[in-house]
Amino acid sequence: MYLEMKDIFKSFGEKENRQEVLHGITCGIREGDICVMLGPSGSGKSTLLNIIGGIEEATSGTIKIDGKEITGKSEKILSKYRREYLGYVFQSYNLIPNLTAKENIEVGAYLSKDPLPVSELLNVLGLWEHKDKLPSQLSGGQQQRIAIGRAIAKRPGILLCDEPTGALDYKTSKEILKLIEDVNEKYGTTVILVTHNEALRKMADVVLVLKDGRIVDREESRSKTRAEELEW
Amino acid sequence: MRNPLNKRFFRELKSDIGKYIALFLFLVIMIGAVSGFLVADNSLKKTYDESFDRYNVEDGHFILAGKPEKSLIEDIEKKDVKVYKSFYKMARSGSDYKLKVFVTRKAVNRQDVLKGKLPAKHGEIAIDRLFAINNKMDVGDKIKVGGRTLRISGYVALSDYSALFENNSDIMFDAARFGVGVASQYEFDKIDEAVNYQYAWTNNRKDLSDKERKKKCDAITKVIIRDRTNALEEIIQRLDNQAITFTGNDMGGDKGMFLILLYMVIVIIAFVFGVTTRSTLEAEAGAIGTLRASGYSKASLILHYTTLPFAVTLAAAAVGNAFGYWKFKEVMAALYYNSYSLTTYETLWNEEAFVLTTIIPAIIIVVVVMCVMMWTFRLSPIKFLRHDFRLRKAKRAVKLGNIPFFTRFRIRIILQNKVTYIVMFIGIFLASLLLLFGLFLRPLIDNYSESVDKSLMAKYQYVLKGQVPVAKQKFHLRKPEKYALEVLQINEKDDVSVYGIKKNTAYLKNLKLADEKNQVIATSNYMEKYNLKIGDSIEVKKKYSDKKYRFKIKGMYKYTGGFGIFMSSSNFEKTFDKEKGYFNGYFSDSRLKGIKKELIATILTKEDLNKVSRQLADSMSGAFNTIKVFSVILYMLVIYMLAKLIVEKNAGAISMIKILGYTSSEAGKLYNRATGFVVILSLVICGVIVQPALKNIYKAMVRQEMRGWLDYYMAPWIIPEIMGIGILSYFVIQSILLMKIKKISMAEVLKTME
Ligand SMILES: Nc1ncnc2c1ncn2[C@@H]1O[C@H](COP(=O)(O)OP(=O)(O)O)[C@@H](O)[C@H]1O
Ligand SMILES: [Mg+2]
Repeated sequence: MYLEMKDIFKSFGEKENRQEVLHGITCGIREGDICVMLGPSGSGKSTLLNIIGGIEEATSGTIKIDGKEITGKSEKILSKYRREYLGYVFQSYNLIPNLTAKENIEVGAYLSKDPLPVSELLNVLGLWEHKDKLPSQLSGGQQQRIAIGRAIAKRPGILLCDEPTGALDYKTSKEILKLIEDVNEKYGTTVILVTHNEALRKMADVVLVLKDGRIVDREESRSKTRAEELEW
Repeated sequence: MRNPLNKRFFRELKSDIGKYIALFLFLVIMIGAVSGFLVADNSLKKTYDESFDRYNVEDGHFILAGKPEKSLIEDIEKKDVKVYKSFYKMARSGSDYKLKVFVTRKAVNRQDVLKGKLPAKHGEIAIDRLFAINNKMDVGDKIKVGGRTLRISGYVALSDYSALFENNSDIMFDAARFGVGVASQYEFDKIDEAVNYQYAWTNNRKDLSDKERKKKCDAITKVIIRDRTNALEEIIQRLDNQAITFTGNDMGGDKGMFLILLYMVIVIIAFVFGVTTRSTLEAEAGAIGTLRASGYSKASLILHYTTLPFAVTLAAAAVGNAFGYWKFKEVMAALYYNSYSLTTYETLWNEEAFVLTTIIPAIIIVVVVMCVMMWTFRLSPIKFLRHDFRLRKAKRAVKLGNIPFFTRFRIRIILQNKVTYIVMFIGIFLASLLLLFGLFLRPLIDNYSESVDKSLMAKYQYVLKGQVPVAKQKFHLRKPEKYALEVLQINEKDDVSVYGIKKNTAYLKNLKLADEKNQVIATSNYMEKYNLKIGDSIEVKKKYSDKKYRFKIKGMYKYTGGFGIFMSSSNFEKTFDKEKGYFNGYFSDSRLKGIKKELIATILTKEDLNKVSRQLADSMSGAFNTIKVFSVILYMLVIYMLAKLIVEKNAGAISMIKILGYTSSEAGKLYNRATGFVVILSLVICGVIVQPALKNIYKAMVRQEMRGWLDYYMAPWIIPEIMGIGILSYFVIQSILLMKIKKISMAEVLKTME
């Protein structure tokens, strides 16, 4: 397995405020798969994603990426790990407001010795004519494209997407999902896509369903539907 | 109901406690120091002014060669004055010091006891405090006075000796070499030294003008000379007595400097408040928009956001003033007590100080913060709701071609925070100016000493009381040269020496005297201070008289000693109605023999002139160091506060790039280097413009407040030193900021996702 999680526990708070959010997550994800993580709000999806992303530390358990253990490592090593393997896309685009579209992508490209050519990316993302605009001059969908471009510019092994379409309308959402799919196909990037939209299970290679901090279902799909054909 | 927003104050204070404490302390110290100075200065000045009545200070005194007949004193008193016996004896302690001893004063020039008691009838003496301290004499110690061993019963200040001038003609006094003391009549009689028959007088009418006082003095002189029984050794009216007047003239001179420093700091702090409040508005834009949309008025919100800076300033001003009256006052008063023999002062409430150090600073800060608020609140509620602080609609990105990525990133940071950086620049500029103030005066004074050495008219310049010939003696190079001198008044503050000089003088190099009457050459320092050009006319006045003289400046003579104007001897004689060949001084390369001491008014040598600048440097060096430390703190405070603001404002972006895999030090390289670049650029620009700014402030200040003139001089190492200090300060701050960046958690981004 490309990504292996074993017995991940996570709790927030101390003593009487202590809240168990993840209760022993164990699973693996193959390289190049699209993994859709489903579950109701509050089930712990984001928390798990953040632990994979090294933003949050698990209370116990281990995570291996490409055979390398990342749990319990120093901030410096984690930062290197994020740099080499991870791309991140959030529901809120979190672009740097005073940088242009192109520059925001360059922020990501800078981190790799062998990044994707930024101008090629701009074309793939359909942002060429907007490359010199500031985020505030662009629509939500366009901003999310930039965020994806920024995430994949350094050729990460894994692209983590936390509700990437949560703030977008139906049509734009589908465009973004298609883009994620294209990225997965074109560059072989492993994608973990967190959502509460059941319809997205059809575009996954593997579906994980979380409930109250446990994986309640794992489903391998045999026939994927293309993102543009999804309906909800 | 009370405004529910008010609950915010405490939280805001707590959340940014570091900033508020730093600004508060800084204001307290600054306001405390300045109010302390103003209070001390005002209290001392009032005490000094009132001391004339309180201690019945003389209107003048004269010394006779022998004891006069009663009738002479009666004749003098007919001139509507009261005469008091004021005999003294001069006791010496080898070459260490001279101590002038009087009988304990009861009627005139009374003394104030500062420590211990007045001397008892037997075996005691009370001496001047400053003299005692300079010679390490304590109350209870025994000293030898004219063959007797006396116990020091106390420290006193004699009301006619606030500055310990031994001779009135001395250029400067030396409180270690000369002191005064009082003893009982019994001990006075026992002192084995000659009596000097000094008498003091006071005018019966207190409301005389200076001119009338001078007339009175002249009348007394005439009575004594007419009497012929005793030679008149000395007569000095109070107005001309340096031991009495020098102190008063020195007081209040530094007020302007202190106020300039205070307001510079206040303006910086006002800007820091303005910028930080603006950033609070930006951070709370959503809430503000909602409040405004739901009916809170603009005014109430502006008021709300102005309250905290105002309250902090007011609290700091109150505490600062309290400190001023309680502690700093004494520090400032000590500056005077270290130089002068002042009587005990009473602390007086000074409403001017209160207005200058409390009301005006509070107003400056409120006005600046208010302006920032109004500027921001012009925007509609909807703009607040959208966190959109831009005036024009969609702002376009500035095009930055093919610059390396990191550089472009930093340029974007600078562009985004230009207002903050402009304030930072102003802060750096003012702090540099302040630092320059702390650094430049000392070398300026040293430079002055040197230039005085160089520009001395002669190694020995004799000023005589009459036309005294020199005895036959050998001269090496140049013979002594006669000149005539008259001292006139430019205004209340400054005098000018008018010289009648021999044509082809051997002493004043390159002096080309004009031929026509009323055409003169003026010294460079005089022309500089009064902004005079060649061709200008000047009007000067005779002291204690209405007589005025007009001269036209025909040329300049480089000189830094005292103000002077030069004319040919013949023109001098015509102007001042003197006989041909009149003179009252010599320029000479060596000491002159055969001139009686009583006939010499002064001998000017370079030591004398240097005494003045040394005294100036000594009395100010404490202030220099304080200003230096202060401005370095200010530097750091301004740069830190604003750089921190930029980091905080961009916490989201910093958090995001960390998620992407940037390390803290890389984030630091982006955000801190942008600031570093601005700091260094500001320092360079300041290095260039601060000097002309200071030069103008300096000149304006000296023209306004000081007697005489010290040429502006900037030691070459000062500007580099300032830049060095600035850069060093920045590196200290940078490492603090890096820690701040390290602390920004990646959860910062997650928070915004809600
Ligand atoms: N930083 C945190 N501190 C305390 N509780 C948290 C924190 N982050 C998440 N939680 C809690 O963990 C649970 C799971 O949250 P999350 O992982 O965001 O769920 P999901 O993304 O599935 O909606 C929630 O009950 C939430 O309140
Ligand atoms: Mg979530």
